[in-house]
Amino acid sequence: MKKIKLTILYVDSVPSRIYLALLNKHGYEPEKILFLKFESKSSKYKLLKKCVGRSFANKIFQSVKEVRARLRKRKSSNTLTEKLLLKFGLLPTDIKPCSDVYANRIIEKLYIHSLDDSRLQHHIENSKEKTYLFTGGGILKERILSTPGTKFIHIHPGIVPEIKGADCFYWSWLLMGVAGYSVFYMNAGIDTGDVIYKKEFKPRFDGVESTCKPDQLYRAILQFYDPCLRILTFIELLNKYLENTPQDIEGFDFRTFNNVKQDPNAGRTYFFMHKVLRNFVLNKLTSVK
Amino acid sequence: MNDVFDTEAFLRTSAEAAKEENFLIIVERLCKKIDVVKRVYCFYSKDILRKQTDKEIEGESYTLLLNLLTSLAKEFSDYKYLNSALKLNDILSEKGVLESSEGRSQIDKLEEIMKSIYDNKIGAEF
Repeated sequence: MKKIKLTILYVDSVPSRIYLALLNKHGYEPEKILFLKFESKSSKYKLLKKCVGRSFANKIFQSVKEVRARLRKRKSSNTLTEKLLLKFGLLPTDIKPCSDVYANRIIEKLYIHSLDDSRLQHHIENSKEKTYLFTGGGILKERILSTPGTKFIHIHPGIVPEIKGADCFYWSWLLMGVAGYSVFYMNAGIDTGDVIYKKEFKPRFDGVESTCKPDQLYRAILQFYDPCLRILTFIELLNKYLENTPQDIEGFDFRTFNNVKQDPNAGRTYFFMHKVLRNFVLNKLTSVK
Repeated sequence: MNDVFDTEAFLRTSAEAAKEENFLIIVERLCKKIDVVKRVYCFYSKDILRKQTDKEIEGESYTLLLNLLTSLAKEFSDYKYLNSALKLNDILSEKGVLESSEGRSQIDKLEEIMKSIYDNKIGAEF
């Protein structure tokens, strides 16, 4: 296992779990996983916290959330999930919570209300870890992104600057015929950070039923397929570093990747696709042989 | 009021405005208003980043904007303008600016443009 000086800014979700599953599968262990646990702001939670303590209150709220998620999941296609994951050598059982992938010694929990919470900012300002891999969960504000001496890496599902914004996996395919990914150091702009690496894939959905509902397919691709391509882009970057650089990756400072500044006014920012356009894209995507 | 952007005046004179260098930049900024805010206001700062009033443009101006985006989508084979036109169509149908038959007819028109852009691009590639 190759240890890398990178902290995963982890919000428990399928995409985040996929990041960890594939990093682990390819032999990389992050220095730390900063497990961001979102506390509810509801009065019920506050009362529960007062009675049974934060940890137990969180467990109860988390359990309720998981039951609801499982009930929703029953309606979606497990076959579709399996087919999408199998394309990357993963099974649904590989998509596990972080504590089942890496040892607890590298996991640190931090309770926050949102990514805007001053507790997160305070933690990052005072932490000795200096490079974070963003895995989603909201928008990081400028005051966190500009913490001196600290960098945040993001893997965006579009080749920048041409394709920025939302639903970029689908915009990328529609406009360029590929799934394109850009790894960059985040700044306050929307997808305007200094670019470290880019890669394109030809997405293939053969074997994926085109008869499943478009909404289901849309969500499944974003939840299971796109995150795999994102982290594989990053893993390729790591592997290329290993091939080309005599310095051992375990000593490498992830703030010092060669990078190229973007012109923030170049390219275009796209927004969430309207259902009509989205369904059109899904139909075309699944009919490509 | 020279230091503000007058949305309705722009839309009324868009045929002339199309000759200006910054025309498409203005259209891009209006697309963001549709996609993100889902409302278009009468006046904005000169750079169209901040609204200067809480008054929305009138139904007639919204229709002009929808027609503008539709024609730009077709002229430039541009999916982004098409996407904003689809969303604006929904907004106007909800507001009652468009009757349901008009809204459906507009969607049919936009779908035809969408397919035509795709077929022409695929044809060009192969």
